[in-house]
Amino acid sequence: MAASTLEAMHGPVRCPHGCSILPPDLLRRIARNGNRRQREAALDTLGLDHTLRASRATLELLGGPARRGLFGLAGAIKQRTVYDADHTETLPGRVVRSEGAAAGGDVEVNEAYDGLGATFDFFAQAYDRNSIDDAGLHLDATVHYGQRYDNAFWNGRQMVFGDGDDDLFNRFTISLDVIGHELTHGVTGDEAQLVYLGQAGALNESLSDVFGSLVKQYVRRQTAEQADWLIGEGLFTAKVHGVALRSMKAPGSAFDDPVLGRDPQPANMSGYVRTSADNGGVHTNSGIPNHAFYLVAVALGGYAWEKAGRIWYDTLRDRRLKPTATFRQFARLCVQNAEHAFGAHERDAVTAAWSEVGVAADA
Amino acid sequence: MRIQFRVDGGFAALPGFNAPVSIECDTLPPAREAQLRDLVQRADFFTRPEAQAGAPMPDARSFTITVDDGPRCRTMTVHEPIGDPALRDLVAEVRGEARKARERR
Ligand SMILES: [Zn+2]
Repeated sequence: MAASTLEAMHGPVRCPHGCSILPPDLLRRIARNGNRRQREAALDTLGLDHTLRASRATLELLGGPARRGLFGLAGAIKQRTVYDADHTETLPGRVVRSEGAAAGGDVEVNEAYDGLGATFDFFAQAYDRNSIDDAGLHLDATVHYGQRYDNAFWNGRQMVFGDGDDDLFNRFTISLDVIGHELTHGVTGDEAQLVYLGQAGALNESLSDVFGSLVKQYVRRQTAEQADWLIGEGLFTAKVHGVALRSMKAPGSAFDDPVLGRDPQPANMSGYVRTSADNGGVHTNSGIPNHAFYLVAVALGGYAWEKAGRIWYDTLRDRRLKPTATFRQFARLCVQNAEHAFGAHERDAVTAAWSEVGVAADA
Repeated sequence: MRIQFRVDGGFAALPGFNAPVSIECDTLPPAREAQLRDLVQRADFFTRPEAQAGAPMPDARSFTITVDDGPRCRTMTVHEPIGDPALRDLVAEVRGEARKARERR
């Protein structure tokens, strides 16, 4: 597929063994100068990984533009595309709304479009970040994925949203923090590449909840005190006894339902769940770092994205953060970044918050 | 035929709701049992090679299905997004049946 795409553009090239090839330097030129699809096809053919981080690193190696950090706010341009899978599981589906197009009558399409925009604007304005990869990546989302599909995920390149199951779950675009959560998986995949397993996986999940919640707070202009700190509010139908999927303010309290069971999240290391399910309980143990973030945000007051969010963002981008980081390693970097960015008062607040959730962050 | 089913992970990972469920197909209406057998067969459940698990995709679920049919028994884990339509149909129908079985408990 990849090679044939390239052949269609450049004509076949025959190697002495009779197989069709393109010279590597031509592929490199396409990888460097082509549009996204041509670039991916070229990287495929070169046998190179074109996940976001890998493709950027590759492009830099190939002498491509080093765009990162050079854009300034004026240069951050949103390029959103919303696709409709028409209830199939084929990605991405057909284009239903491109950047700048007016809203239509489809609620999911509009929510996805607006949610992508809010998340893009949040990262650009609060942290001077130019999209998921900090290099202007176009934002793609597919809605109406599958039948009675009760999930949303990030597949490494785009967001995918189901409509819910008409029973327990509403559409997954209903909650802005869900959209922010999925996009943040893209950011984490680009920056820290935290493995999706155990404590590193729970940190990966927590970072998505943290910035998902901050997107919502930023849009609503809410302070840490005013925010609800809920993840996935509105996602449950009226049948379910629960306000949301998770609570950063009070992990373990979001729902208690005869069918779904009870919110299993701990708020402290004493409740850390050891399990082989869910990649080691990544959606459960994320309650611990989630609550640490909440405690820092409330202790420092004001808009949570300004200080607590900045400290967490700096830690996410910290080169010392390993893909296999533990809570404690992450917490220590948070403490150092708090002192570096702000000072002793913020450092102490971060140390105290991690200590309250049972993670010793002092060196 | 007995089918065991378990959901793992997902944006809304719900350990209580996702606990393993056993479906005793002999107790289902014959037409329904035949339908499930047909889906198992069409998915080549007992013979298809196990898909290679890549790095976990954030918030994607996996579905673990065990089909115990007399001399034949196999457990397979299927990861989202499910590319194969026959496997996708099987997972969808087994999920529906698992939900009913859970509600009966
Ligand atoms: Zn997630």
